[in-house]
Amino acid sequence: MAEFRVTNEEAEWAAAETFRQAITRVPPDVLRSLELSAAEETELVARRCLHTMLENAREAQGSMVVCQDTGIPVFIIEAGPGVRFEPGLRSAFERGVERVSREMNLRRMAIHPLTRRERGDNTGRGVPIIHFRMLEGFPFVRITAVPKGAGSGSWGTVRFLQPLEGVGGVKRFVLESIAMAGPNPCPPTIIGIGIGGDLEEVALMATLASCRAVGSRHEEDDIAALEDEILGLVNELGIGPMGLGGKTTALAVHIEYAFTHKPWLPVALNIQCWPGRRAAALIFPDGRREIL
Amino acid sequence: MTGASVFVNAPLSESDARSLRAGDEVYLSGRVLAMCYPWQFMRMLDCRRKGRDLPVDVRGGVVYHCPASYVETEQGYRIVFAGATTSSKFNEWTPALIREIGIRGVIGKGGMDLRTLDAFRESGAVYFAVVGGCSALYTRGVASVIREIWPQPSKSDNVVELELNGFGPLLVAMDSHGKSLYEDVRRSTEHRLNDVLRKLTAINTSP
Repeated sequence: MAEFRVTNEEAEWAAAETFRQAITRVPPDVLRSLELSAAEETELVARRCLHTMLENAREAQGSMVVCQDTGIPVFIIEAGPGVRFEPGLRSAFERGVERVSREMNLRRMAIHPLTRRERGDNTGRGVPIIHFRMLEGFPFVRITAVPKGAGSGSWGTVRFLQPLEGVGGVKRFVLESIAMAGPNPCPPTIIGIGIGGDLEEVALMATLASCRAVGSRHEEDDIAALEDEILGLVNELGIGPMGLGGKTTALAVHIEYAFTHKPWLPVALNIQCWPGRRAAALIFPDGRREIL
Repeated sequence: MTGASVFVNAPLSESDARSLRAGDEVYLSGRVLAMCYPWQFMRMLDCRRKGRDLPVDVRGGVVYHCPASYVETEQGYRIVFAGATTSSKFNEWTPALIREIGIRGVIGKGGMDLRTLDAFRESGAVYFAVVGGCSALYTRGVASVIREIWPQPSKSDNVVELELNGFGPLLVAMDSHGKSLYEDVRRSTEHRLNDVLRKLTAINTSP
């Protein structure tokens, strides 16, 4: 089997282009969902909100930022075990982020948590945040940018429920958290829920769940049914677009789960704001590359 | 609310502000101050309380909760993008901004608290809500960047005076008559949450 090697040039390209795409383009599944929701809304304020969002997405159309809070750069690298990366991979990602930040005059959002000082190029210690997932049999390398803004990001949360609270406890946790967030995460949102695992894994699962396409369902029927049920319950709250009332509080609810430790029922929430920011690049073993 | 759009000019008189009602859709023109950090509000109040001149005439003025991105060119400043940030961060200083400084309009995202609603009612001021995440669209309504106020080492940290032209669509979400659409929805959400949770408990505990 020929060696599948990813160069730093390819990594830098992927980081830059996925970051650029994620902040300037609303994914087509999100646009479709917003259009369908606008047609369903009966309240004038709610319909107007959704139409404004759609108009903004058209206006941005890949060349202007959709939302000025372009957030902290976060990437997910997925690769099979046969892939090799070069030393200096993190620097390649930093260069990609820095280039787009400079070209588009982005606000420098990455800062030291205590001194509040910037490095000035939207990178810093541990930023970009990079998650690495090794997936057996994965035929290419997929790099996904999921930059996280403060509006929705501030409402991410993890809790260790008591096992006896069960699925009812999970539903309650989600509903209370969404009610508390109210207008802040710019509804209608895509709600990612992680269940099980441990502290880091449950949060990462919530993030991965929040980045799935609207309309995607979990491969297990029981979990898919729970996704549908929680979506219905959330929308019953009537928070609506921008928290001004309406039928569409969430566009989708996605769940990812993993087995967990016997005394635990960890649950995490990561909320995607309405622009549903994500963009992915594929790098193939033969050197081809593609932006999804 | 009739559904028609209203065109408003900043600065606003008291009767301008009081003629607006929650639910009105507005397009705003005129000069506004883009402010988005606590220190900026604190400094403005400090100036007023110590009897110092403010760097700009703010009577009837409008504050825009906006982290503006702009660049300096040979021809002057050029706006890159504008968009609103979460207003609730500034709840603490806004009642004083209204009462002591004379601000009559706040443009922002997500609403403000009941103390601010009170100040709006008392003094005659309103909250103009943007649709969040719509930087591309709202930037169209920024005609120019007039000047920086209290310039800081990083442009990201500046108070900036902006000239708006047909900026919108804005929703009057909190008016000067005690009505807040956010408060209405919050109360309704609380009732609905209780209903939903009650139904869930009934399901869980039924045999």
